[in-house]
Amino acid sequence: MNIIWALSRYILPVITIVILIKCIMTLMLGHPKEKIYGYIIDMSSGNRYPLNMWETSVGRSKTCDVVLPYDTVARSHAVITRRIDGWYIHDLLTKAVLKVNGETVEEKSLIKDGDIITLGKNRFRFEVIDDPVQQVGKKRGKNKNTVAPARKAPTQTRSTAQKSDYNHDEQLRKRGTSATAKSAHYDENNKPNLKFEKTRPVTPPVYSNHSNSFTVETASRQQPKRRSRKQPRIVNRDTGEVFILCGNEVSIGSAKKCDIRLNTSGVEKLHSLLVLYEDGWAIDKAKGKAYLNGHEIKSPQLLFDGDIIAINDERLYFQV
Amino acid sequence: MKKNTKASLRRDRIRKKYKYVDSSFILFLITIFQIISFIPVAFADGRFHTESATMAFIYVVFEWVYIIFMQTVVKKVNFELELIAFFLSGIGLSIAESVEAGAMKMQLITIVLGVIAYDVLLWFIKDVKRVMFLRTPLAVFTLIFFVGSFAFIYLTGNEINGAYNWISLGPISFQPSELVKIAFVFVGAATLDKMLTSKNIYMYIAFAMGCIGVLFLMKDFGTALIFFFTFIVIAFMRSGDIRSIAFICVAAVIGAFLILYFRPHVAARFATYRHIWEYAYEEGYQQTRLLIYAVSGGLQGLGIGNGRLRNVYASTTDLVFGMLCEELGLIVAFAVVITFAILVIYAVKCAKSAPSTFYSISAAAAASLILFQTCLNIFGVTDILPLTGVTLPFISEGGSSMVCCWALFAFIKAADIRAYPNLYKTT
Amino acid sequence: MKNTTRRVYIVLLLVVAFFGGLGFMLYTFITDGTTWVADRGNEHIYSEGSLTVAGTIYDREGIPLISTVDGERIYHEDEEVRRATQHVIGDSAGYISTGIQTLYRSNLVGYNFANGIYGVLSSDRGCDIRLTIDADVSAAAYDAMDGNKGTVIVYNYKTGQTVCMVSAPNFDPLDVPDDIDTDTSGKYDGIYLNRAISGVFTPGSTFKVVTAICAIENVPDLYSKTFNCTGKYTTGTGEGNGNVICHSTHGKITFEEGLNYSCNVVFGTVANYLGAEKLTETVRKLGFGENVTISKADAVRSTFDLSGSTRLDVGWAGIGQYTTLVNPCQMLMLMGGIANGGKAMIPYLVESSSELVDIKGKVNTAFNLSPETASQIKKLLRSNVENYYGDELFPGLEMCGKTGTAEVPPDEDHAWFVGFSQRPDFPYAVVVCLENGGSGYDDAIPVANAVLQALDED
Repeated sequence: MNIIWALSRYILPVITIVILIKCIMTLMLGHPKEKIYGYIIDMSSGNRYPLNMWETSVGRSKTCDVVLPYDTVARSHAVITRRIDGWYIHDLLTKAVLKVNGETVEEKSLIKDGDIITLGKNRFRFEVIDDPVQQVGKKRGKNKNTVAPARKAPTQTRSTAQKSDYNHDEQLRKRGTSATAKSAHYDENNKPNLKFEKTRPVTPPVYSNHSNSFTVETASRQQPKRRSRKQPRIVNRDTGEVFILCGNEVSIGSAKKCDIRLNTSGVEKLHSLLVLYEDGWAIDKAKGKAYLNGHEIKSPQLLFDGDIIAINDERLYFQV
Repeated sequence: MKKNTKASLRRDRIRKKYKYVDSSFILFLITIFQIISFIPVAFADGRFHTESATMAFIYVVFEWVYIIFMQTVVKKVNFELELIAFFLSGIGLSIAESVEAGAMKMQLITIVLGVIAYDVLLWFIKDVKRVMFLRTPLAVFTLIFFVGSFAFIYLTGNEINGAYNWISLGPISFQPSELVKIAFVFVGAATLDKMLTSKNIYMYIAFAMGCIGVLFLMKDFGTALIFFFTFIVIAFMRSGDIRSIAFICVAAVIGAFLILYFRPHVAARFATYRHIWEYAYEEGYQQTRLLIYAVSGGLQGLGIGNGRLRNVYASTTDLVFGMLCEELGLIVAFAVVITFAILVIYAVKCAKSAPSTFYSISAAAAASLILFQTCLNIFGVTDILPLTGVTLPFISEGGSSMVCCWALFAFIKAADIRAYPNLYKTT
Repeated sequence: MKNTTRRVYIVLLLVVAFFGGLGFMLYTFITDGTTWVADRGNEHIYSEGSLTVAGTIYDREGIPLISTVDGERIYHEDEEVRRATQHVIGDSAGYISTGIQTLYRSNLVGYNFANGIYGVLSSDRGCDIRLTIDADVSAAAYDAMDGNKGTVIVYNYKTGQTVCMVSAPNFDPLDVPDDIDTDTSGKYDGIYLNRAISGVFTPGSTFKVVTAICAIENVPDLYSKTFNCTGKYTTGTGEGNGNVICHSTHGKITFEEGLNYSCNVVFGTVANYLGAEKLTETVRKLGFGENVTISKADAVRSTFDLSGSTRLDVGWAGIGQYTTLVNPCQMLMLMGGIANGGKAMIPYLVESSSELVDIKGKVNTAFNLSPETASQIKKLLRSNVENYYGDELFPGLEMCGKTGTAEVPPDEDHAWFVGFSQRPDFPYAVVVCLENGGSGYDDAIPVANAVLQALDED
């Protein structure tokens, strides 16, 4: 028996226990909290279904993660996945209809915030809270290139859908009214979306592949890309730019001093104004023409989550 | 309400505290452990073994370089699994070298290979689209490789301990079944959309039965049992169909009994089960020696090099648990095997928030495979279960087993959302 | 995904099974570790089948009976002591299963669960054991047995310390006969058997003590009864009846005289008067047939079975014949119980060891004898020596006792003497059983006297 062992026979078990306990504690306790990565929002009822996993099955069956109680939805209809290069929706080879922005999904399709997913006869808006593409780090340019071509041609569905029977009734547009309240005047028989598609075909807007660079000069530039659930913001779908609205007034236009700068032709120097009212943010027409959910803005209109502001070819989303 | 906030604050603090392990501190402890355990190896027989000492030094340096490289260049933050694997491999190294001087060189190479396999696999399965694309070709390739290996072994007549499970190519010999284990988990796991698109698992059943069939031909029943267990875990995770799984299990048990009934020589292998002391100088020799020496070590062991189990055949492979008990003591031995159990709990925890069902399934399958193999080994040699002759993960000497264990760790690691920091990091 | 991830909990079943198995393993390590570590395959403590590291075994006066010096087991220098203590100490190889070296092996090599055998390996020395055995008394007993097979046991009936336990045949451990494993003539038959613990013998007349106890408890006018011994006792007529033969013709005698003369007619009559049921009841109450552990060694159970017996069988059983077989230690406890006023101590051999649980000085709870009956039977046994055998056979010992000559045709009779000294300063009980040794009076009494004299002088 050597002398070294007389001592180390006490040391080795202690070291072993310390190493394993330290590692195991970290393994067990250091997990990040569960979070919500996005929502799919039932456009007829306004129900919001949180997506808190990377893979979410959608269907009528109770075994699905998101249970949609509609007859036209298949038992196991689709899977929404969050992959490292973006969100996808996968068709599960059912006979039921699966469309993204009006186009039938073959196998799978990349989806983006605000896309309209059609499951059977029901329409859902897809909303992203935490987009993996944004997270992949600083190589944003690269991502844009990879993602942009995959994007389907921008769609009338979006505009038509949003333009649908959105009644900008001031009473309903009070701040604090919930999504369900908004949908109060949607009834089952009057499916506004379908009606609109038939009656008002909209020519697809011309999309320039070069990105519009948005710059925010004033108070809103403080944290231009910060994603906060609480603060209202304007999102440009195509570039992924996010502007947090702060201060009392935010200007949109082609002029350098504008808070949100749009460089495409046809944009006035001071095109529109976003103004903070008591009831919340509203959009006012300044010099140029602007559409809110397809309706031309003639007087100040209060903005609600998910509203789309169309200025020339640019579409800006308002999110709360 | 207030209490709640307080509690959640505390939870948050704990969470923050354990967000990252202090890798260098743990590695420092591991280094001390390894230095202490390598000293008697290097100074065995009263003279200094330069080669052993060099090898030990290389291993320690390799650990440090790997962790520092991963931390600074690759920007990884969590290294618990790697550290555990390094620690366990180190124990195996010192035992192997102390029993047979020079055994360490080969073992060290396989550890490096294992680390490479681990990182490559971890990188590869980062993108599940890539994984799903490669699944079917890999399954086909695996089956061809496995059948081919068996044909090769059978034709060259390389029968070792009554089983055809070793390929010998000159100086290199390895067990193809160990490599197939990785593919078995890989092919078994699937993303949610794949699982829901192809609603049955017949293809996987066919693949699994193919692999298990080859193992039966090889007469490697221990590994066949491991594969069958893994298959059950994966099949259940994928289908959730308890009745079918129960049916398969019952069928397997009946099949096993039929084999035992019609092939008495297979049953004869298990004749000593629970009767090893009656065959203490025949078939039960290894197991009785293991029990004698395992309890001789006590809680703290007799010291590396001071045991007697080392003189028994297969002391560094099948019987290595006894070596652990005798030379390092019951505390270290139990801590090592309990680690494998805790990794299963960890895999379960990760699987719930994994970025894909592929990770959930593969992590659960890999972790339980390792634990199941551990069970077969340690309970087999101590006569609690029938002896099947499988190795103890990481500790047992053996190249392909080492590579396999490291690669399986990649599956466990990948299920932890922290494995790929840039995927979950929020601004 | 939730649906799939929920299923992952199934693998926790494996974890539960694993911890179950690990717990079971730990349990077997703790409970069976002492046996395993002492296995002859353990090269830490054995070399070529014999112990190389083990502590010293001392007798009660501190004389080392066996010790380890430089990896060699060293025995006591006197051959008689070596032979007399052989079965108590046991052998290195473990053939004597009741030997201390076998039963206390793990103790001798200093094993405990926490440290394993690290202690003995680091100091090259195991733990010592001190026995209650007296080397000189044992040697005297062995000497007195004069080459007969059999056993002599002496113990202190107040404490249970066994000062002498000799079993023959035996051999000199330093000079093991070459043909011990190959011999077929039977001369070494049972040589590894400690007859005191592992042997059972026909008790013969010594069993009359038991019949007497039964009679005292069940026959109110026992002492006033007279019996007529005509040399035989006829149990009756018809099937299953016959004659119990007496070794002599005693004429009209009382019960006390009947015990003095060891008259078979008296005891055959009494046995049949009591009946099989009452006899069996007394035998059971006295602890015969119960398991007794003497310093970890399990004594073989005595057998007394009268089920389906005839009146003749009961008659023979009452005088210690028929199928009755007793273990010498059981007889020793019977004597101890009588001497100690109804409380029988279990004999023990190990005075001190490193064992945590002390198993010495225990009372045999299976032994039930009222103090009144004990004092009556004590008087009768004293009367045996005083009136019949003669105190001059046991000078200065105030012995009480009973001889026995058990018939085991076709072999020669077993010679028995069971008894105890009633001297308060000499509380020892003795059992002498000489296998095929002749008559109790002629052959067993001198042995008993010799060993007790040696003890008294000591």
